[in-house]
Amino acid sequence: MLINVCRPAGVLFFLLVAPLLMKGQLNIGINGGISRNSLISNRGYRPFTTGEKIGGYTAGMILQYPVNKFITIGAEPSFVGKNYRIARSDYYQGVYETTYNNYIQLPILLTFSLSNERMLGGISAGGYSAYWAHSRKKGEIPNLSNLSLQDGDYTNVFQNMQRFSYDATYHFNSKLDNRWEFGWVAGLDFQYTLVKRIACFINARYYYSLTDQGKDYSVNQQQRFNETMVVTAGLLFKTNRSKKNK
Amino acid sequence: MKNRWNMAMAYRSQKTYLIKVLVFIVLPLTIGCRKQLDQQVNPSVTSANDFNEVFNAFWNGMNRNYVMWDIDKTNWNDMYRIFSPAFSKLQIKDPADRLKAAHYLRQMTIGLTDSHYTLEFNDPLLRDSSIVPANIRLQQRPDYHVPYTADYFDQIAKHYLDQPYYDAAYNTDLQHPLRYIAGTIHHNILYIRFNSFSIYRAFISGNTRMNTLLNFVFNGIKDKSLAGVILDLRDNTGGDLQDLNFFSGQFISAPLQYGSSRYKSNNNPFDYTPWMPAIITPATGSQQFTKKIVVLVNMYSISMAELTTMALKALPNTTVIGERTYGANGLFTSETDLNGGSFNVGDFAVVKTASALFRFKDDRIFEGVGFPPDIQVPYDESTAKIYVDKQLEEATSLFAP
Repeated sequence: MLINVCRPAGVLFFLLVAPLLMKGQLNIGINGGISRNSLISNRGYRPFTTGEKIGGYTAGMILQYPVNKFITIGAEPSFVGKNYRIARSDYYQGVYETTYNNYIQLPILLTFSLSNERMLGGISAGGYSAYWAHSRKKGEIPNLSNLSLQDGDYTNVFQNMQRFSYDATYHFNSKLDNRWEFGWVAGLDFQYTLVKRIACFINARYYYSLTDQGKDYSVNQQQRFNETMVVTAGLLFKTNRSKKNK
Repeated sequence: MKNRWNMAMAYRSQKTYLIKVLVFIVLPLTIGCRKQLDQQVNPSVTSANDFNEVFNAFWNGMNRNYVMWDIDKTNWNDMYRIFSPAFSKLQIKDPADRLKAAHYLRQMTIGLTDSHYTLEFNDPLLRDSSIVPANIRLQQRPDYHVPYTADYFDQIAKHYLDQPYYDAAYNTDLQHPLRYIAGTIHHNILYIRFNSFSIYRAFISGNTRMNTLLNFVFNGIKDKSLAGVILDLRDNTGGDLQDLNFFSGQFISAPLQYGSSRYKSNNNPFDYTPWMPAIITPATGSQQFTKKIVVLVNMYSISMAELTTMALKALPNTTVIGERTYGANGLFTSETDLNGGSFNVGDFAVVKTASALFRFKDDRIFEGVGFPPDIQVPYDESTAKIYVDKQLEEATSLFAP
C-alpha cells in the first residue's frame, strides 16, 4: 500500500520540482527535529486513566518558491512521529500503552516574511495531508488470566494480576483505521543566511488534524484527532536568483 | 511632490496587500476547526429520569465495555437504529412502559455471545424480568435437561465411593454455597466433587470439616500409589478465579499455559489488547501429576468449572467425559480494573458481562458454545432417578487394567 502511494508521489514530485530547480526558481532544504503530539479524544469517564503527550522525531525536506519579497509558497514533505500514551494512576500505577505512529506528510504553506540582508522572520499557514505509514504499540497491562499467588492486601494491580508487557507492530485494519489525515498547519519561521546561497533556519509548526484516526464504523464512537507541535532546524540552499533580490 | 505622492501610494498599496495576505492566512484557521467533541458519559451516573437516557446509557455502556463484539452475531448499531426511537416513546413513570422497556432490552440482547451476560433491574416491578440470554440458548439445546436433583451427588457418593469418604458444606458467600465431596473409588482412584469454586477461601476459613476434606484431596494428588483422579465438575456453577492456581496448580510443577485472554484497550467496540497468555502457576510444594485425570462435565458446568476443565485438558493425561459445557468462559473483575466489562445503567439496571474474552490453547473460542468432552456420555434421566451414574461409570472404566 505504502509503495503504491510513494511511487506515483515520487514521480509527480520529480516532474513538478525538477524543472523549477533547473530554472533556479526554487529554494530547497533539509531539516530534522522533534515532534510532540496530543491525541484529542472524547474518551470521557475512564477512572485513573489519562492521555499523555509523547515526543517523537521528524525529518524531511523543504521546497520554497518565493512569489515576491514578502510571500513564499512552500512544501515540506516529511516523516513525522505522532505518538501518544495512555497511562493509569493510583492503584493502577504502572499500567500504560504508548502508541508510536509514523506519518508521511505533505504540508503546503504560504509564508509571509520580513527580512534584511541576513535574517528573515515569518509566519506560515496552510493545509496538510498525511498518510499513517506505521504504528507500533508498547505497553504494560495487568493479565487477568495470569493471577499472582499473593493473597489480598494488594496496593497495586500488578500484585494481583501478573504484568503483561508487549511491544509489537500494530496491523492496520482497513475497516477500522483511517490512514489518511488532513488538516491545517500554522507556524513560525526564522532564517539566517550563512553565506550567499546557504541559510540555516528554525521552524515551528502546529498541525491540527481535521480527520478522525478511526473510520466511522459505530454509532457514538470515540473520536481521535492528532494535534502535533513540530520544531525543526535545517539548511536551505537558495537556487533562487529572482524576484526577491530585485 | 509627485515623487512623494507615488511613495505614499506605494506604501498604502503595500499595507493593503499585507492585510490581505494576513487575512488569507488567518481566516481559514479560524473557520476550519473541528466540531466540539462531546465527552462520553459514564452510564453508571446516568440519572435514569427518562427512557431516552436509560437507552443511551445502556447502549453506549455496552458499545464500550462489551468484550466480544468481534465474535458476536448481534449488530449493535442496528439495535441503536431500531430501538432508540422505540425507547424515546416510552414514559418511565408508566408501569406498562417499564415492562415494555424490559421486553425491548430482552430483544436487543437475546443473541449476545457472552454467556455470563445478565441484565438485572433495580425497579421492583422488573425484579423478575432479569435477562440471561445464555439460559435461553441452553434451553434450545437438543440435549437440554434440568440439573441434577439437590441430593444426587450425595447419593452417588454413598453408592460409588469407598467408605469412609469426606463431605463438607460451607458458605463463603451467598452466591456459592459450597458442598464438597472427596473419597476413593476402588481404593485407588481419587474422586473429588466441587459444586462451586471457592476452594481457597474455604481452605483458609478455619472450617475443620472443609480443611480435613481439602487436605485429603491435596495429599491424594501427591499420592503415587493412586491410579488417578476423577474430578466431578457437573452442575458446578463456577466461582473464584484464584482457585485456578490454588487447585489446578496442585497438578503441575512448572507454569502451564492453557489458553489466552484479551480485553478492551479503549472505548470503541473493536479496541482490544493483544492476546495474553493464560497461565496456571504451580501451587507451593506441588509435583507434576503424571497419572490419569478424568474430568466430568455437563451443560451446567459453568465459568470456572469450564476454565478448570480447559486448564487440566492442557495436560496430556486428561480426559473429559460427559456433555458439552455451558459456554461461559469469560473472566471477571471490576469495571475499573480493566476499563471494561460489567457496569450499571444509573439506578435502573445492572449489567454483568465478562471483563475478558478467553480462548483455549488451540486458539478456539468456546464462549457461547461450550467446551466439548472427549467422550460424550449424555444425561440419562431414567438412570439418574435411581442414582445410577453412567458418566461416572464411564470415567471409572478408564482406570480398568
